Amino acid sequence: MESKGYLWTRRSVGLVSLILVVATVIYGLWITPPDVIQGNLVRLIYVHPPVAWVAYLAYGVTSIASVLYLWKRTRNIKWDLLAASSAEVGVIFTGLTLITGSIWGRPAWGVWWTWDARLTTTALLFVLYLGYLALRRVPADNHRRATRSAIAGLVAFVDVPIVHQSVVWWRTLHQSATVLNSSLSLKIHGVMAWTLLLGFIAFTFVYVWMLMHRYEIATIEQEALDAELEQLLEERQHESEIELAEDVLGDAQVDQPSKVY
Amino acid sequence: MNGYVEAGYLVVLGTLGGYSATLAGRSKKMRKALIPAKVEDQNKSRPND
Repeated sequence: MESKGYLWTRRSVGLVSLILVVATVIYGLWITPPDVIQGNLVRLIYVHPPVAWVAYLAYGVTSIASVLYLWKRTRNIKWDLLAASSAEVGVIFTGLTLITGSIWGRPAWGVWWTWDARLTTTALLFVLYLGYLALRRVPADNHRRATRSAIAGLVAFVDVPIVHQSVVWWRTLHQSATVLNSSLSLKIHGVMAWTLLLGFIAFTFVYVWMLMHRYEIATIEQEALDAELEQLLEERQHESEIELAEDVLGDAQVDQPSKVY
Repeated sequence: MNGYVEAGYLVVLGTLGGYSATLAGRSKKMRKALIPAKVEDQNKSRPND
């Protein structure tokens, strides 16, 4: 993990992310034209759906890693750490999805927030994965923590298809999918479509870079925790050996007949 | 533009930038902390060198 190749890859991903995000901002804010109906407000579409997509992706990775941990053949604490790392990044992106959606909603719908099916299910998704991260902080041994987190991660993921389909299943204020709709017909064209695609790629790269960093932190933290636990066990063992030796010595002294008359 | 667009971009870039800086800082700090420990471990495993 600490190899030069890994560090080089991570730096490259970071650099590419930065370039792509800057390009998305330039295209999104200055090069693409305003929409006929929405005007300049349409520019938020180059960031809002991409961050929402990354949240889905992050939770998808959490779910796959959780399954790999639960499956005995592939069980490894690294899958648990990957699941947790991806969930944390996913929570950041879900928060951004809610905030950018709210910023768009105020001028478009006249309200910052409404209990619309899409918004409500997305808020629920945010809370579910916050709960997942909170659950991980409940003290337990590695296996127990990983198992219950994996189950919680999989249960929380059930909400992802519900969020995506909410605009189809219920009558919502939120518009239907621009790209990933049931008829797979693009509702956006030309430079606007390319900029949206650029946004999707840029934020996916950002996610990969963040995941690489977060996973490294989680791995080092886990190693430190294991080493600390090992040291504590050694110290405890040493203490109990001393106590045992003292007990034996004490017993031996009691057993000796007193020479003081 | 209209203020909302700028605010949206600012929130996204600010949050991602802040979180990225935190991650990069934490992993750098941890790597640094780990290097002396590893060297120490290597020395312990080879006491006759």
